[in-house]
Amino acid sequence: MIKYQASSITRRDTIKAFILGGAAAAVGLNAGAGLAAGQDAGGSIVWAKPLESNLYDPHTAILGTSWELLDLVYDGLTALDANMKPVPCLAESWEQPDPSTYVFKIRTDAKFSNGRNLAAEDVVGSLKRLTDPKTGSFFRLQMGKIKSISSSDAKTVTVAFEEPYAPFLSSLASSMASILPMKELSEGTFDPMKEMLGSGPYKVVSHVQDDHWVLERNEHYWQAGLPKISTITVRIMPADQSRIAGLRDGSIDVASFEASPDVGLLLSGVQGIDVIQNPSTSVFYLMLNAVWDKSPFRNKKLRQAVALSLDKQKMIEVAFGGIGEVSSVMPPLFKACDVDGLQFYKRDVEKAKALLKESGVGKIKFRFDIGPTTAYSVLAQLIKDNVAEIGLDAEISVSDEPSWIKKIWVDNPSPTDASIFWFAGYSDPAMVPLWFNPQLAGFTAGYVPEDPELNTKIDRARGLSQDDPARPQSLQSLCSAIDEAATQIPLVTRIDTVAFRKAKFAKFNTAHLDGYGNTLFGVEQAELSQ
Amino acid sequence: MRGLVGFLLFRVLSASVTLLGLTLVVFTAMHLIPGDFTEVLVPRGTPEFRKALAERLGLDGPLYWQYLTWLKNLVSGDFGASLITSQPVWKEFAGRLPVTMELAVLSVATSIAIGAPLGLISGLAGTGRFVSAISRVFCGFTVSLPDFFLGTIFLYVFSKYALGLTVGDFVPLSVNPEAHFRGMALPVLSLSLLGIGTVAAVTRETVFTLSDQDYVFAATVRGRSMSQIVRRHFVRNASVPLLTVISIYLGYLLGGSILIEQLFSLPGIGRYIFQAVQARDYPVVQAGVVMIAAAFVLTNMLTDIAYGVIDPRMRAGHEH
Amino acid sequence: MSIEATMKFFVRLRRAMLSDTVSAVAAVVLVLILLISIFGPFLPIGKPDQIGFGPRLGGWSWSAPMGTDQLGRSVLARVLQGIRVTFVLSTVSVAIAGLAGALVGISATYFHRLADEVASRTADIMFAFPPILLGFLVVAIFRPGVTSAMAVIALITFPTMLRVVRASTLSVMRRDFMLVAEISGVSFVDRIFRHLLPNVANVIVVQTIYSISLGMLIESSLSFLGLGVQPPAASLGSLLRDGATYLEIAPWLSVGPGIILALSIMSINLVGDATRSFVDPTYRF
Repeated sequence: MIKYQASSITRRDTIKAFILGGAAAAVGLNAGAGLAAGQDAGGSIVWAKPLESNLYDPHTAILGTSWELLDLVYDGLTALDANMKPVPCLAESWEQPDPSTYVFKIRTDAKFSNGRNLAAEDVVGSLKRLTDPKTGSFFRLQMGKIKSISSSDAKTVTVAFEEPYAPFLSSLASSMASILPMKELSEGTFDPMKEMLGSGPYKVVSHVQDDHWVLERNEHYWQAGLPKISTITVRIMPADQSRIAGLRDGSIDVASFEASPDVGLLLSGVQGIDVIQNPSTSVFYLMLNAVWDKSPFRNKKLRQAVALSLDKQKMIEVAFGGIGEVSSVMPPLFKACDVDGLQFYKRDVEKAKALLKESGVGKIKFRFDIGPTTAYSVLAQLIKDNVAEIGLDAEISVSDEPSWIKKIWVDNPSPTDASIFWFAGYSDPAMVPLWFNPQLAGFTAGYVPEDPELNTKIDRARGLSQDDPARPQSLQSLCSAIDEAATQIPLVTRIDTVAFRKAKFAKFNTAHLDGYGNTLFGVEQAELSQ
Repeated sequence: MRGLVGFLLFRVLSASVTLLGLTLVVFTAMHLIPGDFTEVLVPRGTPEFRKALAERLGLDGPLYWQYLTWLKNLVSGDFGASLITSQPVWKEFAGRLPVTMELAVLSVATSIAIGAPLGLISGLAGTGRFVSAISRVFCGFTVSLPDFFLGTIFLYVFSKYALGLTVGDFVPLSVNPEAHFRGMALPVLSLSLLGIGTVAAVTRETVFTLSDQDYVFAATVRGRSMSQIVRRHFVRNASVPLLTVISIYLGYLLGGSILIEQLFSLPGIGRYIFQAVQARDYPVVQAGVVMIAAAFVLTNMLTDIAYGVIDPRMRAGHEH
Repeated sequence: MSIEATMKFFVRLRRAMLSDTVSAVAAVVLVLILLISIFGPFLPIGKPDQIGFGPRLGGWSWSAPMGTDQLGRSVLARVLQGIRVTFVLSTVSVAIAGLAGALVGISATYFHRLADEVASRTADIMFAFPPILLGFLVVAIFRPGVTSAMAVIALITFPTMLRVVRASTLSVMRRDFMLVAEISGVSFVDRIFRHLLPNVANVIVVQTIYSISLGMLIESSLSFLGLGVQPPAASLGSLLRDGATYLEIAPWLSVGPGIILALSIMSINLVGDATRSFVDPTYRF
């Protein structure tokens, strides 16, 4: 169904920096191999992450920092394998009697961590809750135009669409499409906004806000013998240097880094760790406000001039220590968009200057509002430098996260000229383009203007099934249209860094492609050495 | 006696007025920041959804009403519940307050233990001498080095080389006292630097003032050694100025250890409140600031009262 | 104080300060740091925001004597800009706080008990507010940048200023000459400007000097949290913040700014001590 195969991982191979940890690691590996995963013999690890998760409800969780935790507690109908191909999870199998209908066989031996068996009602209820506008999920539209969700017996769930929707199985694998215990929810004994109760590998046993979480193995997890590690302590440590110090002195086993510039370089001085920087479909975007009446970027030629002035290769080199790839709206991993066919993709300062002249705007100053992340700050300074070459002056202003989010995604129109952010790229090239339809996406309406022609292209690309011969052409045309609109200009892919202490693990296979910010991908399979 | 009671009443009253004003300031400030809690929680949610959420969390009424409700609950001892975790705010603070308190108390203790002897030695050495110059530069340096900078250097050095002290690995006292103090040592040291310099400087000044006094001169004439004199007169004379700086320093530590708590990943109240501001968890921030300020005001008030009781002339300043 | 009196004051102050080695060294260091930072823009060391002036995270070189940062900018150029920004920010905001503190302090004390109470309680409220949180709230409500940072420094230093001025106004007003002036019919304005102000000015000057060093600490803490000057501009605090992460592989990014910040604050404090001992003979060092 999905066209990229296992070989796509070798195309841009997993970037691994092996730092020689000496004999200790080798000994550890051998010793660990013989260890049987007993009930409590799995041991425990400490995982340090930079940001707290404030959103517990999977259906409305918007930030990657929440997803990475939700992924440990909840499961969906499908999951993604290491190559981002949908594989069975809570659905043991599915079939498509026609292009617009999916029939899922539910894994009824799966249990929630409270011991109750998963029922078809949980699946039907969860999907209905997710797609109900009242729930307020931003992911609702990524589920396609669903006509009905029903169960014919305790094991069978049928989802019918108004028209074919290609990315559906991929969407189901996201944290947002997690299956909640609907019985407890409707009885009022479970409030997804306040607690987590899922059928995933781990359950929450304690939490101190902004400090740590303790997760324990879900005894009822449906995959026999998994997870192997019995306890994961999640520590919230905002400063990069604190997490690095913890890795160095051994108080932390796994640390994740939110696309911090140069983190690979900084970690190169730490003995005995493995650094993983997996390719991802997440992409950084430069937003130019084409809606707000005070924004100069309502002028399309000006936006295109800015797009042409950008030196994206330099962003990778300078901002991310050489890690990542220049990207269109469809990240290179998807192989869906031929960038040579894009007009405003490659840097061309002369053409940018000409366009600026044509735009009639002149050499203006604009306000560049960014969030409080080092990556944003470095990217913004590089962009400031780029646009200065064609005579524009960007005035950078860093706000705290909520003020900034309100400005760009809540207020309509967004009271700012430009900003930077990133979107998870999910696992299908037709998914993210939805954010270019302001009416449907909603949150982008503050800066993306209505464009019926583009909307038609988005709809068409999403309607064609993966093996439809018309799909590649449709995606390419959509990719060009988005390039030309230059409202949210794709910059470079966003690569997360995960570092772990080699000696601690016998097996920690985290080489995978990433579409949903699942930081500890495959941790249920990980084994510790003794 | 009437004077003393009046003085006490006056202090308590003005402290209450201060705290009342503070509740208004912190409430207003929190609600003036752009991005309210519902927007932070579900930025891509529909307006209707946010409205329902606000209703559920009691964030929907007019602001003055929300303020009065909060104030009313506060007075009756109800701090509300965290918007994020739904836990009672007092419970959230109960676990974290001891960490910050310990940090503060240990830092004050360290400051006195190191600062006072230093000040004494350099004070006794007299002015204009080499020792005096050294100690002035030392005191000047300790109060000039930002604690977060020192903390950053500690973080690197102590994680790189196994020197016995741990960074960012907080172990509760009840779990393992030894590991606990090994983790607290560096944050305390980072925070004490300012205190050491301040205490040393104040001690030094006191010694100077002391040596000016006639009775000290008389004691010297009587052939008492300087150490005897210091033992006899110093403690009484130094207590008032030391009390002043320490009460201010303590107040600073209760609210000022945010950066150090963050750097060393300590689960204290400073870091918690700071994160809560960024998550717009109103009840937590409001209660936290009021709590820190109350501690600060209380410390000041007690110090003032202590002065007033010790020295009736001090009361005059408050009553004109 | 008349201009002439002010001049005389500073001439005597300078003489007193130079007679003490530590104060003299501190004053010289301070003047040197300021001079270098003022003339920084004219030195051939690159512009502080010139990306790719040298290699990324490069060490010492003739053109970039303090190395280069993560964007290949000259650290020396940025440090010099940082000193300017930090000094100016702190001085201007403390001057505002000092002026406001003096005005409010004197008038509130002089006029009415109620005014005095209101001013004192306001100062108490600001004093009791945890400083970094106060800074965060102010910056988040308005927009981050130079103006907000100045407002924060002024807000934090203001209450101390007010208290000091109030206390010394109270003590001066109890002195006989104030009573004599009032009885002998000296006009109100003259009483304030010729009798009261000259006698509290000393205290204000000393407190201002101390506040400037406090202001620099506040600025650096704010910038360390990313709430100060906005990129690409540098302040000593923002340099420390950017450099802290790179301490291991590029220590020159933070050690230089850290030392200069500590040295500046220390010099200001020592100069403050010297000034204080000059205006208050009971204070010695």
